[in-house]
Formats: sequence, C-alpha cells, structure tokens
Amino acid sequence: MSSMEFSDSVDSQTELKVRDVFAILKRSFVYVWPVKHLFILKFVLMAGSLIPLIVAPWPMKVLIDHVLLQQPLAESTIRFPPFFQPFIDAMATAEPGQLLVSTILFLLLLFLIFGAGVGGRFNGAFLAQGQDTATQSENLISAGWSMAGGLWGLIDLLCNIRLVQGVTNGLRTHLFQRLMRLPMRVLDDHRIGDGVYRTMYDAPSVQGVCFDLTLMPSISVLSTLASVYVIHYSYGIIIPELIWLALATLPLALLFTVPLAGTARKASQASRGSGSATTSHIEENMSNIATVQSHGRQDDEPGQFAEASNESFRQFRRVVSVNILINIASTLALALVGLWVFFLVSDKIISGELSPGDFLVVFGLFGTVGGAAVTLGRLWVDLQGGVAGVRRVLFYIDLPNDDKVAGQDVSARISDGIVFDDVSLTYPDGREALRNINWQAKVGETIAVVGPTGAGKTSLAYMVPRFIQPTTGRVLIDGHDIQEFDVDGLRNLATYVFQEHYLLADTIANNIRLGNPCASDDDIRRVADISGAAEFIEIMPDGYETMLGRDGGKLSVGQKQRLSIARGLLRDTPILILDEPTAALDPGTERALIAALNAVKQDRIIIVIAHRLSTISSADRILFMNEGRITEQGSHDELMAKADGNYQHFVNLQTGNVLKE
Amino acid sequence: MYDSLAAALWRTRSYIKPELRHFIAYGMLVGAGMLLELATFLFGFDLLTNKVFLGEALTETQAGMLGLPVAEYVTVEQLSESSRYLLRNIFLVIMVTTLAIGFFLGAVLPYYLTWILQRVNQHLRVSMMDQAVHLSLRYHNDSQVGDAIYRVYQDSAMVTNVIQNGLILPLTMLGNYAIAFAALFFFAPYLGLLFLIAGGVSVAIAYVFTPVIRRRSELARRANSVLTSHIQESVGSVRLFKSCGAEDGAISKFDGRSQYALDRAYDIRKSVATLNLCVALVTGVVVLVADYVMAHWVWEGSATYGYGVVALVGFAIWNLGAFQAARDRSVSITNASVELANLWSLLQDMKVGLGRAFFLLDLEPEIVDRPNALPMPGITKGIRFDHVRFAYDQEQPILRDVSFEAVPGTVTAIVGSTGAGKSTLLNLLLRLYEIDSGTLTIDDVDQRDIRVQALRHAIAVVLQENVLFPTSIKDNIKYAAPNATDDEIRAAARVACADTFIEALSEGYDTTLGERGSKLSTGQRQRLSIARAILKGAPILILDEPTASLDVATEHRVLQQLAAWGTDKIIFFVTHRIATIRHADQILFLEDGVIAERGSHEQLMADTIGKYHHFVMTELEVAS
Repeated sequence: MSSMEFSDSVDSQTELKVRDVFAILKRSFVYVWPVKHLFILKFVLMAGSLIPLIVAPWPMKVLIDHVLLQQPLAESTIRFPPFFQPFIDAMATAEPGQLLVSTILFLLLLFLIFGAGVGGRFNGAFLAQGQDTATQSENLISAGWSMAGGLWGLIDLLCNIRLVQGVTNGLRTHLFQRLMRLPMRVLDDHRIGDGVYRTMYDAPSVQGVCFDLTLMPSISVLSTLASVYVIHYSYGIIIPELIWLALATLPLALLFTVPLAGTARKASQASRGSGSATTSHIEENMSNIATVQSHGRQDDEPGQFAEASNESFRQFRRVVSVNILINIASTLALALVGLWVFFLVSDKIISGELSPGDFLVVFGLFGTVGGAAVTLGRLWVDLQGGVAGVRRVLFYIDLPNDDKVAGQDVSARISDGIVFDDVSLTYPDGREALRNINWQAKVGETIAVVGPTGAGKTSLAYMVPRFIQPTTGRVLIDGHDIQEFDVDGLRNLATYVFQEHYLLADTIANNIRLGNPCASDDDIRRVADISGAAEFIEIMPDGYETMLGRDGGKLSVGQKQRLSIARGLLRDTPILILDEPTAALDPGTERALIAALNAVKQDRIIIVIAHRLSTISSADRILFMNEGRITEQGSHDELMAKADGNYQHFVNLQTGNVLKE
Repeated sequence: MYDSLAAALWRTRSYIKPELRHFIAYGMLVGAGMLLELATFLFGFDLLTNKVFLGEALTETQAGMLGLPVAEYVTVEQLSESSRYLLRNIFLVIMVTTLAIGFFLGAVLPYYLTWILQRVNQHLRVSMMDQAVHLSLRYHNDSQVGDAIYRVYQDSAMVTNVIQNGLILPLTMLGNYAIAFAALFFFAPYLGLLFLIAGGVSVAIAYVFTPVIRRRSELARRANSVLTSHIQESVGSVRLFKSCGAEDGAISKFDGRSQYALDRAYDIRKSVATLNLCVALVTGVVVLVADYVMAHWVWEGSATYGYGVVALVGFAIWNLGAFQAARDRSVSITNASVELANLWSLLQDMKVGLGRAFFLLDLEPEIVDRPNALPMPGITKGIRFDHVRFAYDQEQPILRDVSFEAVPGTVTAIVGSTGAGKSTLLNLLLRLYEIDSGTLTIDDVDQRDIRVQALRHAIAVVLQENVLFPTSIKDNIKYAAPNATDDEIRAAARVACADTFIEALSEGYDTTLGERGSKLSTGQRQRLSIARAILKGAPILILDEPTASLDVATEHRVLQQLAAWGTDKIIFFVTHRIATIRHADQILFLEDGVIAERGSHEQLMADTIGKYHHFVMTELEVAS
C-alpha cells in the first residue's frame, strides 16, 4: 500500500452515481439497525404530524364561512372530507354562538396536541452555531426537528434527537475503533487533525443519508397523497384542474432543483476540505508550540492560519450561495403553481361557487403539497453533502486493517523462543529496509540491536509484535509463524517501549497503569522504583496522582522515558522490547535500570535497541546491523575479539579510544 | 441577568466596529423589507377578503390610490363581478411585485449577513491564534491541544453568534413584535393588553428555565471539549495503545465519553424545547381567546379602535378582512414570542461559550517586550548567568542559583542527572520562561531588555524532541530561514550529515513528511532539526540532546563539522555521552539546581573525588 493512497486527493472524487448513493445508504443502515425501534417510532410520529396539515384548514373554514359570514352549514357548496364530517353533523343545528365555541375548542385541541392553527409552531432546538461546516455539524447531531408543534411535536423532537444521536454515535464509535486499529504505517502518513475533524464533524452526515432517503420521501409522498385525496374529495367537482396542479407540483419542483445538485455537492465537499485544513493548522501549532516560539515564528504562523481560515469561510459562502439559489428555484416553481391556483379559486369565489373560507383550505392543502415537493426536490441536493461526509468517514473505515485477521489463540507464556527466518522487508517505494535477517533468541536471553542510524533496527523490532509484516521470510515464536496468531494475543506477549514517549493527559499512576489496568498501587510503585521514576514522582506534591499536561507537560525527557519504561515493565510480558531506553538517562539511572532488567530476565526475552555501550555490553547476544543486514552477531567479548570488526570499531569510538589521537 | 451578555457584546465592539457600515446597511434593508411587508399585507387583506371575495365597496382614499372611478367602486352597495375581477388582478400585481422584492431581499440578505459575520469571525480567530502562539509555555503545558482546537474553532464562532443572536436577531424579532403589536393596538387595545399579559407570563416562564438551561449548556460544552481532547490524544498516541494492547480501553472510554456528551446535548435540548412549547402554549391560547372576542365584534360590526388611522387601508369596522388581518398579526406575535424564547435559550448557551472564548483572549502573554526594548546586541563578549533562580512551582525551584559565562567561539556542555534542569536552563536563555531572580545578560545587556523576537532570532535551537511539520523536507529545513536558497539548504544538510539520506529518498529534498515527521527514523529527524538550526545562522546555537539517537560515528562527524562551522558562535549542548562531552571547552555539571562543578574535561577529571569524575567513571564502568 503506497503512502499516496492515503492522501486527501484520493478521496476528492465528487461525481456521485445513483448506485453509489444506494451503496452508501445500505451501509449507513447498519448503524440504524441498533436503534430501529426509535426509527419506527419516528416514522409513526412523523406520519402523525401530517394530521394537523390535513385537518387544521377545516375548522378555520367553518370559523370564516359559517361563523363570521353566518352561512348555514347545510348550504356549503363543497363536500367536507369524511374525517371532518362528524363535526359538521354534530353542529348541524347549532346556534352561531355554540358553533363559535365548538370550533374554537376544536382548534384548541388541535393546537395543544399538534401546535397547529395559531402559529408558534416550533420545530427544533437549534443552539448557537458558527459560520462554517464544522460548527454546524455539531447541531446536526443533537438539534432535531419535527413538523408538528404541541405535545406531539415535543415527543417527535425528542425521539428525533435520540434517533440521530444513536445513529451518529454508532458510526462515530465504529470510526474511532477503526482509527485505533489502523496499521502503524497508515497512521504514520496521516494528519491527526484531519482524523479528528473527520470523526467529529463528518459522522453526523450519516443521519442525513439515512433519513433523506427513507423517512423524508415516504412522508412527502404520504402527505401529497393525503392532500390530493382531500382536494379531490372536496373540490374535484368544482375545480377539477386542482388535482392535476397538485400532482404536477412535485415534478416541477424537481425540474428546477435537480440541475443544481452537482454544484451543491461540490461546494459542500470543498467547504469540508478547507475546514479540515484549518483544524490541522491549529493542531499543528498548538502541539509544536515550543518549536514555533523558539524559532521566532510566532508572528508568521497566525498569518498562515488566517489564510487557511479565510479559505474555509470563502468555501462556506459558496455553500450558502448554492443553497440560496436552490431555494429561489424551488420557490419559483411553487409560485407558478400558486398563481394558477389563485386564479382558479378566486374566480370561483367571485362567481359564488366557493366561499372565502375555501381560499384558506385550498391554499393550506397546496401548502402541504408544496412543502412535500420542496422537500423531495431538495432531497437529492441535501443528500450530496451528506454522502460526501459519510464517504469520508467510510474511507477511513474501509482502509485495510490487518489487525483484525483472526488467528489461533496464543499461550500466555513462551517456552522456547523467537526465530527470524530469512526475513526481508521492502517498502512500497522499492527501498529495501531489511535483507535476509536471521537470528534467534531463547527465553532468558537479552538481545541488543546495534548499528548506525537508519540501519533498520526499529523495523526489525516492529516485526515481533507484528506492527509491520515481513515482505518475505517468517517470524516464529515457539515454532509457530506469528501470522497464524491472533494479533491481540500476540501483542499481549510483547511489550514495546517506544523511542518517542507517549504520555496521556491523566495522572502519573494512570499513565503507568495503561500497561496493565489490573495492576495494584504496589505494582505501580514497584515498577516506578525499578525504572527510576519513583524518585522524581515521590517528591511531587501530589505524587502518583499528579496530573500531567499535554504530552507529559512539565516532565523532562528523561523523566518521561522512565515513566514509559515503568509502563512497559508493568505489563510483565514474556517479550520486552526497549527502543533506545537509556538515551536520555544519566549513568546512575541507567545502571539501576540495567540491573533491574537483569533481575527479571530469567523467564523472558529482552530486546534492546541502543547506542550506549553500557547498555549493550551486558547483553547475551549483540546484533550489529548496517544497511538492512545483520553484519555481525555474538556476545560482546566475541565481537570485540574480531579484529577490525564493525562492532569493535563502534566500541572504540564510544569509549573515545579513537578520538584520543 | 443580561449583564454578562451585555459585557460580552461590549467586548465584541472592536470586532464589530470595522464592519459597522455593513451592519447599518443590513439593518436598513431588513427594516425596509418589514415595513413593505406590513403595508402590502394590511392593504392586501382588505382588498382580497372584503372587496374581491365579499364585494364590499372601496373607501374614497382607496379608490383614489388605485385610480378607480368613484361611481363604480365607492358609492355602490355591492361591487359588480367585473369590478371584482379587475380588483383581483390589481391585487395580483401588488402581490407579485412585493414577492419579487421579497425574493430579492431573501436571496441577498442571508448572503450579505454571512459575509459580514465571517469577516468578524476571521478577525477574532486570527487574534485568538495570535494569542495562542504567543502565550508562555507555562499555559500550554497545562492545557490540552484538543481544548485549544475546540476553543478557537467552536467558541470563536460564538462571537459572531453573539452579534447575530444577541443583536441582529433580537432586534429583528422585536421589530416584528412591535409592528404586529402596534397594528393590533389600532384594531383593539384590549387585544394588545391580552398579548402584553401573555408576554409577561412568557418572560416569567423563561426566567424559571434560565438557570437549568445555563447549567446544562455548561455541562454539554464541557463534555464535548473532553471528547474532542480524548479523540485527539488517542489518535496521537495510537502506537502506545497498540503496544499496550489498550485499544479496547481507549475505545470503551471513547464510547462512554461520546455517549455522555450526547446525553448532555440531549438534556439541554429537552429544556430548550420544553421552554419553547410552554411559551407557544401561553401565547397560542391567547390567539384563540382573541378569535372568540373578535368573532363577536364582527357579528356586531363594531368600529375598530383606531378607525381613523386604519381606515386608510380599509378597516374602519370589524369585518372578515379585519378579523383576518388582526388574526394574522396575532399569529405573528406568537411566532415572534416562541422565537424570542428560543433565542433566549440560545443566548444562555452562548454566554457559556463566550466565557471560554474570552478566557483565552484574556490570558496575558507572560512574556512581552518591555517598553523601549532594545535590538539584539552583536555578540562579542558573551552570555552571562548571574545568580539565576527559576521555579515552575515555587515550592520546588528547578534552578536555585546558577552563575556562569559563555563566550563566542566556545562550546559549553551541560551535564547532570535526569531532571536536573539542563533543558530549563536553555529555555531561560530563549526566554520561553521568565527568570524569577538574578540576571541574565548578553553582552552586558539584560536579556529582558531585548526584544523577544530579536532574541529568539539570534538563537538557533535543536530541541530534545524534534518537531517536524508535515511539509517537504526542504520547507522543514528552512522553517527558521524562509528565504534560504537551495544551495544554502544543501550546505546546512551537509554540515548536519543529513545530505546522504535525503538524497537517497526518491524525491530528495521535496519529499513530503507525514505527521510529526514520520517516515524518517529518529536519528534522521534529529539531523534534519540540526540542519534547520544551522541554516538559521544565528550567533547562538543550542543543542539539547541532539545526538542521543545518532550512532557514535555519525554523532562524531556531526559535532566535528559543527565545531568547524561555528568558530564565531556560542554553542551549548546537553548530552550524556562522555565521548562528546570531553571535547567541550567548558563543562557545567548541574546538580540540585546549582552548578556543582565547572571547567574543562581535564580540569574536572583532575579532581578524583569530584562529581564529574564520578559521573565519567560510572559511565565507563558500566561500559566495560
């Protein structure tokens, strides 16, 4: 897998085919499944919120035509729809005063349940958001919406929030899991900020994809059908054209909006991309603040940030423009239909075939049809942004993840040892990192790996816990190829203490405990003692409970190193790999550490990569590496006995014998 | 209760000011749109309902305005059908014109507002970033990266939100409210009174909800910030989690934090939605009460309260048109009330966000130039530490009393046990921290009198942990000297012994590095950092354990070339390697915050019971 495949440019494909959309939808539905009960509930609640849209215009018509204008109910020129007929029947002989009170009570009921009829219909709980995609995505997860108001609307809204949160969290957690399980080499090539951005801000798109393609179309179709039915039932005889107009609204709206879909998607993708660049920039500056300040660059960095930020704003304005354009297009389509309807209805009112209240009813029903048409028309457009976001998330999820290869269980201990059998490693760009490596280690041995910078020492050590895999050859533990092992099991056999010291923003005790969550406080003290960390921890006011800042904060490099070693020791695994463990330790501490390692070496294999002679010379076997090969191997004395050997030369340099001339 | 928000608004004034004329232009456009809407809708309601639908006669004023003959339109009992068709068409023209203007405003205004607010946000973001990179390292050590990202990105958006939601939207909504209220008042003062009472009740409800919303907002924001930090940290240290087999722990922790953040987000939304619902219910019920009362007035045909004024648009008495116009205004009051309630919740949320945004802006950078700060002196005499004391934590000073001198053309090695304060000493020279007492002079000029920028320009540093940026190798080397030529870059790489491995890469100097310079081995990264420092050509060079990951031969070569290159420089390095230390002109042996021994290798070795002697012997002893 070449490093280029992980660059952003690969993921910038913007052409979206219908097939892709459905493929992504199918995958998105995996995340809906765990919250399917909420999904069904939401569907029912949404369908229910169509009720006021169909019902509310009728009491208003009664109020206008039969209460205010005092037209007798029996003289109505139109048929009331079946669901409203019972009310009309009950009111057939009512006094105007009685009819007024009843109608208002009916409206009150509709209002309390659905928030319909008197305005103030709220349909969301949006909180503050910024002017760019990143901050708006945050609202996407938890804002929610409902077509209804009243109690129904409240329940619908809360159900909606929980549903969206559930789906988003599913995807977000899955993405995070995959990030954690990505192979080392993939992680090396990626910007951390980008990963954070993706996890946090793109994952919410999944809800858009799921709901836009399922709930929204079905509800839109349902509400159109219901409205058309009512229009047909009540007005079909007087104005037959209304039915055709209602049915034509949807295709018309699509005709106006669909051509803009491609533009909308591109704008949305560009906006997300530049938002990600801005985050990366902040992250880089904050984590490297010492470098920025010590190189006197603190006055230039904000300028570069300003550029990145400006670009992200510019891209966002493009998204806004496209949205405005789409709104205008769909409103225009509706306005044309509305104009026609207005002519038809007002003609009939003037001619006396309809009454003023019918104007409200017809426009109310057409409003519902129009709303559905706009929703469907925007659907494809809105989907574009969502699909772009989900695809970026899926891109990460789909990266090859060689960790998850199932394999046989590994025993907790090693009885024999490690064998490297003719191992070679070639990088994707053709460079050879390791060539024909052969060596072995028995339990109880300490192996030192020595050699110039870039000789392949770390690559060799990475192969033991399978952080990387050989291109050819085999690594065997107790006679089994480690490829056959379960990766987690294998990694529980080996502890790797890295050259870079990773510390978490947590207490010192928890940082050490990461190696073995079950360890007791005594265990922690014991390993801290061995690694020489105890002496500085214990003089801290909070001792083991001291909170560390970012990247270990106030600790010196040597102190961080000792904590990392303590953590490694705490894991108590049969294989211990130390990558340059003593580089930043003073001789006293180093000596104590080596003594401690010697004390625990009987039943394990210790692999040490080191430059310091003092660390190397006590090893049972030394592998001297150069340019990807093991050029010499043997004990210190054996190698020193070799006249003009590489190792001997190396030792002489170290002790200064050569420099004395 | 509004005071802190008002204070926040006041603080944003410097960001608003440059855009003031745009804000005013925007406000005028919005106001004009609102008045136009009111006028056409009142006029249109009467025209459509009373005249077109019911065929009532026009008033003289109306006929005059529309240029219609009095005989056919005013003095008749009932309008003829053809007159009603004509009026219908007039209504249509008015509506289409209004809608066209509305379309235009609807397209332009949101874009315009976005543009203005983005400009404001940009000012703020840049000044926050500026602040963040200038802050003393003490602040950065204690805070988390994710938190900083969240602050700049999310919370700076809060300022534009304050302007939008604390100023523009409330003004717009109050404008709507006032217009609707005034219109209603002219129809019937009683109705106005009813809505006033509803308004009062709504305010009381909002008052009850406020503390809950505030508390929940704080919780939600904090939960989100913690989550962001967690992701940041986990992804950054993923090797560690892998090597410890602790991925599952990190994942379940993520799961917990993510769920917690979502639960808190749900809580605050629940409060907000409930408040909205309560306000909607209160005002909505008033609309229904008004319906009841107005229906009676229509039956009685009673005069409207302000008939003299509203007669202009045709509502002298209560009729269907008046009913619908008044109802329309009542509904818009309800809408405005709910929106104001929602806005109120939003402001509570913003208030919390703002506190966090300004927290960063309010931190004083600890290290600032003194008034009349001097340029960097050309170094001829050297650097002098005189009884310098420094503590991160006053209880435990890192450096208690440090005095020494370093002159140009010399190499000073700093030696001592882990945590003795070696790196701190050099950070003080860079003025990354301020010394607590004593003096630090460069050519007899107090270091604190020199401009920070000039001081740091005069010092090149290779830090213990080598920070590389995910750009090309070339850009990394010229980070501190952006104008360097390719030849200079190559020369610097040669001195640092980095040229061989760079040239072996397929893209050479143009190879792009991954995050934190991955792709390279630690030793290679160190040599790049050294090349970067050399290219800077500064008179003072600090190497903080620069060669720990180099093999001895490479280290030896690097140091030899450095010594040859830096004949007029002051070079400091921190190391544990005897082979390296022994070539230094002077060695400072740090212990317990003081310089315990000082001198050349030979001088210090002469004292066979000395600490340095012991240190060297330990190292060599372990070796053999």
